[in-house]
Amino acid sequence: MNINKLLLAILFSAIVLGLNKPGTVLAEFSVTKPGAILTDKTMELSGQLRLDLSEKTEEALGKGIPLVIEVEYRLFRIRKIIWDVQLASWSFTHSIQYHALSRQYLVRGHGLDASNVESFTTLQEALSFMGTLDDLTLPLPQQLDNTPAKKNSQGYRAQVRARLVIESLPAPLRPVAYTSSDWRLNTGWVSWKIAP
Amino acid sequence: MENSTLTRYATGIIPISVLSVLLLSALLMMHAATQNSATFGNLYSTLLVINVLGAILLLSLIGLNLFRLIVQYRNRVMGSRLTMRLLAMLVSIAVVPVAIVFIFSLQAINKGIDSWFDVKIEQAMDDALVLGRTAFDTFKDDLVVKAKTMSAELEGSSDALALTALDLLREEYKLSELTLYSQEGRVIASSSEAGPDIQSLLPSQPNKTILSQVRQGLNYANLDPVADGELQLRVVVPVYGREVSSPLRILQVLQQLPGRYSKLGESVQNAFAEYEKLVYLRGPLKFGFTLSLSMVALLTMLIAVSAAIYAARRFVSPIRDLAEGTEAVAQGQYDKQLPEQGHDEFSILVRSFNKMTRRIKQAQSDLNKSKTEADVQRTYLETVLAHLSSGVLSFDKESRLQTYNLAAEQILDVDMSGWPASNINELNAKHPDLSEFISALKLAVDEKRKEWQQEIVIVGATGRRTLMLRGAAMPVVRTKKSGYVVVFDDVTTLIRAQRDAAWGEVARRMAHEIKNPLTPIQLSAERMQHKFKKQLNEAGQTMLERSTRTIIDQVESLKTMVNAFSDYAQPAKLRLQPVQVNLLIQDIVELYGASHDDPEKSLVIKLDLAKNLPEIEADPERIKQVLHNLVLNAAHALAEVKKPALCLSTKKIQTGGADYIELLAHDNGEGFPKDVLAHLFEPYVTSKEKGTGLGLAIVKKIVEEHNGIISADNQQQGGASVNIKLPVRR
Repeated sequence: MNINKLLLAILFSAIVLGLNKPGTVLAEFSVTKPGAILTDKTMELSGQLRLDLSEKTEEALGKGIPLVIEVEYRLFRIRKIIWDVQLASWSFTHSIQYHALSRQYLVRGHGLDASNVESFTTLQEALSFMGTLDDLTLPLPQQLDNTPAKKNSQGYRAQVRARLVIESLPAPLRPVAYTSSDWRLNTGWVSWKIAP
Repeated sequence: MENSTLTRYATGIIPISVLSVLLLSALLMMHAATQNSATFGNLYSTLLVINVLGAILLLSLIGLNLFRLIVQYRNRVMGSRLTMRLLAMLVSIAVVPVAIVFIFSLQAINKGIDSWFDVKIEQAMDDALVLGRTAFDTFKDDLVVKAKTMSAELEGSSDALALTALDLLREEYKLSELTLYSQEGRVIASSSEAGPDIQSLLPSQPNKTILSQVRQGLNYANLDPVADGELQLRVVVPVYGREVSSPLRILQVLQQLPGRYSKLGESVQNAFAEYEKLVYLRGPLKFGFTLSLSMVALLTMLIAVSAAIYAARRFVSPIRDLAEGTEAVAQGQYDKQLPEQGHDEFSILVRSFNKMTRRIKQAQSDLNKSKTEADVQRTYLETVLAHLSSGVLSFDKESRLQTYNLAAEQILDVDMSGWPASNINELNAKHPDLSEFISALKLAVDEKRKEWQQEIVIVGATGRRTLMLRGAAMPVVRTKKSGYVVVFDDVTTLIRAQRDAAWGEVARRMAHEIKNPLTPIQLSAERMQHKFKKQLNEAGQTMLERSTRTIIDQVESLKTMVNAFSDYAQPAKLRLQPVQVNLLIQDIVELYGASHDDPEKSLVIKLDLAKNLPEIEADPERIKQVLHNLVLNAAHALAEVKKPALCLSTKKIQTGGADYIELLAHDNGEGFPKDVLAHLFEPYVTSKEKGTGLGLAIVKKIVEEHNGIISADNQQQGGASVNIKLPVRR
């Protein structure tokens, strides 16, 4: 699927550039003050994902189309000469949907409990809630190797990325989404070093 | 090899067919995906990518094919023009209808999608939602009133008694869940309808926003969708303490809506959401359909164009082969064979072509064979003609000279290289010296005499010659008109030989019939004189003596004559040896030192002899006889001439590439009588009263025995001249 997305992105890049209206404010996902604390078995995150929706995506959300945002985390051990080794990776998908009858935004799958549904009266609250990294504790697949040799290594590095999953949109919307930058909401991989 | 494989893959029908089937299946699935089909929904992007890539691949293939075709067209490759025309035709047949269908379909789809949406339905949906909201607001307001009442009742109860109070209140007001929170949001007490099971051990926590709102003294009431699709009312109100210092507490009331309301509400919500979604997706749906349709149209067109290219190539291929074949045949490649494939009319044409070229080749081969045979025949004939001793001339139906041979040139002593294609009349004008010959030819040719023979005499540079002409009209071959052929021989020599032979025969007879009785006659006369002389008187004796003398003299004369004939008729018995002609001439001239008493009539022989003359191979006695006869002949001829003079000159000359000694004898007499000149060297041709008439005949015989040439003529300044040429010894 990733290859497809890449190909589509390449194929439509020219169209995208052509379709972008000058002066359009490009909404972006970003990460503010990312942080993490490593314990033997967990990684406790802090910080905030700023999930600013574009005009188009906000309109689609208002019209009842659920948006799925995938948040991925990675943990690396930094190595001096060769590439860093990946120790663990996590992926969570959250969805946000407008409930017209109750005039609320429903956020599903936040945190570790996928069935959890939270409702918010404003979009801002909902997005802020979705983007909260504070108190998120991720279990490590195996205990960190803290032998003296490893301890003296360069330390650890965490990465986070949040993006709108276009593939989860209704099929008719996908070609439009692929061909418009309004729908390409992505933080890109944001890295930071974890203090030992 | 690689290139041809690539070309086969690029232009073959199988790759395009496979690609077309794949693309069409991908299109079908994509179309299904556009309809939100669950099966293909996840594959939508993949299918789109496959189709776009497929279209690009097809476009590349078509581009490659068209490029090749254009290159072939520019290079005027056989069949490329027809392929181009056929391709243009097929493409227009395929593409134009597809384009028309595409445009109309696009309009129909856009209109169709627009027709799904109706203002009335939209209004109805909005109204239904408002109705739902209004209905739930009634419940909500009612619950808020209840919550406020409960809050007032809870004001007095302490945290420790809160649970009991909550249970009572929940029972009283028939609520789903009642929870009391501290100001910080900590659960003080909670009462739930469901009872304490694992799932609902923790009460549903109001979020931070709600808590902060309530802390500020505001009520919160809203409809909450629950995870399993049901709806509940959440009301959160502040619970104030009775004392001023009492901390604020927070009461959350959760009321599960009655099942019927909940279902109806969810139904309205879902319908509204679906409709809204549909309205919103109208644009993207149109885009999706347009994209699908465009892909269908594009792929159909591309597949049609590919198929058209293949079909045009396939169709033109045998025509191109045939065109190349005919071109090859036109350039003389009669062994051209085309590959026979299939069983259609083209293959019949190809088979017929192959049969035709085989036959042409056979015919050509036969023709070549015949031509070679004809050439061989012609060469043979030419060789035969060239080596014939007879002259051959052939004329076409227009009386123009066609062929001649070497012998004809030699016999007529003319260069005939300019003769061919000349008409007989033109030849007559060009060669007046051959007028008798040409006139005879003209008569025969013009009259087209079937078989014809004639003897003619021509006088030319080589003297008087007799030619025997034979002619025949050539047979008519098919429609080709016949010509005429003339064969002629120089029979001068033959006639002379015949004449010589006749004279030889006469001489031999004379020797046999005359000479033999002469001796007895002579002896008898001598005996008669001897016996009867004494018996006769003087007068008688005188008469007897005179008579016998006469007999003896005449017999002697007859003997001389017969001997001369004998000599003439005798075959040559030459004793050849190197001879200096000048010495022989000087020997003979000495014999004739003073031939007459009267100096006026004495023959003066002048010599003009070339020095260092080469020797000849000859019998000196015979050559002496030649000189002797010549001098004698001159002496007799000049008997009546005053101051008779004979000049003998010798010199070396070249004739016909060979060296000769030329001996020229000319006198100052009256010359040869003209009527004699032609037969001068024949026996018994003489202008003298005396003589045997064999002098010059013998001269000629001896000269010819020595392979020499003799000729006689009268000089312009008067006097006869005899020219003898004898070959120099090698």
